[in-house]
Amino acid sequence: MDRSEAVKKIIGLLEEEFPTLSDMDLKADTALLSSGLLDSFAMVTVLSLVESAFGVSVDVNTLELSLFESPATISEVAIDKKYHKA
Amino acid sequence: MTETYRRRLSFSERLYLASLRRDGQGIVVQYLLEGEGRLEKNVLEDAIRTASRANPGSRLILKGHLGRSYWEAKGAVPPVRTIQWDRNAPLPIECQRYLDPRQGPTVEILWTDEPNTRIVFRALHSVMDGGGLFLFIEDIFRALRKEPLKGAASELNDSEFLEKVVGERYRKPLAFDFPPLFAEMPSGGPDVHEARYQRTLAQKPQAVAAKIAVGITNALGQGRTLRFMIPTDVRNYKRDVRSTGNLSYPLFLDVRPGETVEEVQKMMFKSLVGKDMLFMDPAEKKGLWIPMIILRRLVDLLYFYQRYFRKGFCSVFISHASLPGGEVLSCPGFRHRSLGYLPARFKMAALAISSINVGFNHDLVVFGNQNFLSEAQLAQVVSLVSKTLDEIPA
Repeated sequence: MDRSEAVKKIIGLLEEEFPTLSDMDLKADTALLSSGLLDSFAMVTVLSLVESAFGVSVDVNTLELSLFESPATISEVAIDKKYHKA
Repeated sequence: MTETYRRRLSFSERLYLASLRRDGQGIVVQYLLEGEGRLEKNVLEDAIRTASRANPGSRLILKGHLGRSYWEAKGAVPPVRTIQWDRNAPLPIECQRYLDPRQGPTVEILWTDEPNTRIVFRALHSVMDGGGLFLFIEDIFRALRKEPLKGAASELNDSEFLEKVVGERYRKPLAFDFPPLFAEMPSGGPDVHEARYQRTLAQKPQAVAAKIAVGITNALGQGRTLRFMIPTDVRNYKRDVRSTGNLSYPLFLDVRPGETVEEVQKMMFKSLVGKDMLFMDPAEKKGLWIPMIILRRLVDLLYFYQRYFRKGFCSVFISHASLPGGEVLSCPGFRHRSLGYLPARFKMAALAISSINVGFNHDLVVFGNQNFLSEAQLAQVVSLVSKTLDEIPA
């Protein structure tokens, strides 16, 4: 899956899981964390959504909060193998 | 799912039960919903009846004994009681009646007969945590709006849920070695006092728990490391499980003087994604067989230990919840204005901060038992915490 497809998929997942985001016209670079749209507690949900939708197992030791800042950065976690368990 | 909803009683739920006293003291989860417009009592009762069918955890009564205890959805639909309540006063003690776990109801709703209705949702913590009560309340409002309900019919208790997510693993016993925030403890009464602070913000607040923890440590911690206990809703780890049960596990955060919000937020993030709080209590299995009379004594002993040795398992308790927007708690004729925590009468609460934001409305409550916190100390914390939130643009 290429990056733009992954971003589109992430946006769909976020809109479905967090109803308030569906009215926000989410873009690849929409700030989720620094804007307060999502908090660090919600990141746990985002992480499990990514794992089940992309069929990956994320190595949490590789994660930084900044990776959850926008749909684009979340898509990196979803598709870049360096964030996945071997 | 069995024909009648049943859930095995967990050890933490037994501890919550042990806190209950016949005069209404004990760990009860209470939320106050205020709105604009009148919500008729009979309309609310109909919606509760409908929501209760989809959320059997709202009508549980306790069956069995010791390790064979379980909750069964054979209780009555949560009743709606009309109460008289002065808007400028805390919820009267007589409104906080004992919820009998064996007879029920274990969940009830208080309703004020006013042009702008106020509704209090009360649930024994033993049957529901805050997140569970939110699920039920959201379904009540779906019923009021004639929308399909989401329901919460999972029969997993907290330890069974945890086994599903991370397997069977146990944490060390909680150490009662952290000093309370204030060294000088007043000798007050057995009840809790509270201060409320409500604000509408222009954006959803970010890193609230971290900001509060850092603000308190740096301003009031007198150079000490403080331990904050932050309950986290573990439903986030398994969204397909919809349960009104006790699915909160405590995240303990030790904040050193001088640490920044970014550092603390990072620490919280690492703990959350690393599932650091997902451990069972070491007494999870054997504790189920300790008679309730001994557990009650244990709760009393811990209280005396905390009071006289001035040490507890945390310095400050912070809970933070975020709901999408006011529309989830609105219906024709009634528009959500605020949703806030109402402290129950629990003598072990030394200092607790509850922060709830619904959409852009933020509701903050600071409370503590009068034996642990004076009015002046309470005011000091409220002022500090509200300053933290004042930094967020309005």
